[in-house]
Amino acid sequence: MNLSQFNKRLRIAIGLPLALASFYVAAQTTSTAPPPGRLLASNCFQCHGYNGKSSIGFDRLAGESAGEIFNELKEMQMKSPPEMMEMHARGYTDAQLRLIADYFSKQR
Amino acid sequence: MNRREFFRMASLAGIGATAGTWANLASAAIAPQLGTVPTNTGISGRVVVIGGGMAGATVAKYLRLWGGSNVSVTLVERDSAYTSNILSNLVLNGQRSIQSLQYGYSNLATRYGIRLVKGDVVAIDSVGHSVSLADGSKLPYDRLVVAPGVEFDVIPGLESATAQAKITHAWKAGPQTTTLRNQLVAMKPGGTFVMTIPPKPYRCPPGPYERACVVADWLKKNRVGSKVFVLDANPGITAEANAFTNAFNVVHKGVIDYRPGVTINSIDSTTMTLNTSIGNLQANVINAIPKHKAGKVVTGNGLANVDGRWAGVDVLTYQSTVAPGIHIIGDASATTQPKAGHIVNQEAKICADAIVRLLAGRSPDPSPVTNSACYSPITSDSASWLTAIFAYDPVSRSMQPVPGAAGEAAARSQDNYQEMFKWFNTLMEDSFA
Repeated sequence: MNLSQFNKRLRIAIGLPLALASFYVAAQTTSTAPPPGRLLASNCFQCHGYNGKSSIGFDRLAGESAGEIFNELKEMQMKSPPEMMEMHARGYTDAQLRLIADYFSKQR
Repeated sequence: MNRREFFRMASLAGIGATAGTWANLASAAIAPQLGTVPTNTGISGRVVVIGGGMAGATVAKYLRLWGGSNVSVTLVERDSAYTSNILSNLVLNGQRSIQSLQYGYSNLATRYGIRLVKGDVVAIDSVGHSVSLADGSKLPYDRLVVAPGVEFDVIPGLESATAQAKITHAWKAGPQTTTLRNQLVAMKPGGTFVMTIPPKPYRCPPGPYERACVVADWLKKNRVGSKVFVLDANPGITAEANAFTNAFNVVHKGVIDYRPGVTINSIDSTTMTLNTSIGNLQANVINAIPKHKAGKVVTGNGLANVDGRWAGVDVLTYQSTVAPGIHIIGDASATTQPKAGHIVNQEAKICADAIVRLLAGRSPDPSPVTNSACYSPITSDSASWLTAIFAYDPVSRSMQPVPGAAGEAAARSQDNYQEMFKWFNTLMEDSFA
């Protein structure tokens, strides 16, 4: 059980007044968790711009379909000899590529 | 052909794009699409960042983008602008000016609300959680990020200011880069340029070999008959071995004389002579890159617990292994990753993400990934590239190269040379814009 689950149960068990009294602890855990894939996807920002919104560089990734980004990265893994981006694609598992693709697909 | 490729071709051909829409597309492509600082993250804290280089600027920016407006970020930097080391070898052949490599801090202040403090740090109080500046002021912090870059040992014989003014390292871009450019221009045909490479770890592994190539390429065209001696303390070329072996043996054959495994005992700046393990060598220009260590704010505050030179860190958070609450990022930390601008930008993001999570009472991401990428000019119009992906290994608790995801370009090319500038501009945008 993580801290946030613990606090949730604490509030249910002991009630709101105590939860308010322990505001400091509660405040630390009321924040939203970082979006999945954000930190992984930030590996792409150096060349593709913040959240994939490239303005001066390589392909824009924001708002592309997740399936298309994933498939393109999978194709890149097979290219030989690899160009730089094709080498990069080899550095991630399928699960990681899906997280990255999903993250960019949700950016506007 | 996928959608993106189709769009690219359509754009090139002008298919379906009237002048008006094309103009809109063009201006949309130029306008920077930057992030904004969220106001309702529920996360708060005070973070002080020491050092506004690639790592420091990036961590400051991402702490605000990911932490939100209640995570206050103060960036302490002694200079009014950062001068990029990346591409600074192109100042030597006259393709770039030093000014074109300079990045101010105003974007960080106005776009992201980062507080800028111009000053020098004199002490860190790791117990009382504050930083003391030379002007007597104190900055309290919940989390401190230290990103001072590197300092250099003094090579015997170069202790005086006069000697150091004459024999540059030019390994921290700035006035020394300009001095080295001027010395190169002052060379006569048939002259001798000697550069020395320090033992690993040093900043930008392919950089010295790239410099040898850029200098040789310029001398070949502008000071005919000159030679470039490269004296390397390492047993062999430390990065892009294929590209540089080809460059030394084929592209710049007869100009570059590469000698691995050479120790520099001393340098006499009056007679312009190097005393080395393979004998004495006299030169018209000496570019001596000394052994590196972490910046003074690390070595002077008990944070250099690796060989007395580098800061040991936990690479899940970049927190010091000796001082809780203090994170060390960039070239000053001891990790398995190369010391280079592109990858320290990513280390900075991992550090920012970890600090934001820690401030929120969460655990850091357990499986971070970093990537290293760079282009190396071989001539004035061709370049090679090098890249590697690193993933966290929980057994060794270190970042390890992902098998099969590291390597260099099959061959140098003009396309690589053009892509180099795109890469540079976007990397600098991600760090400073």
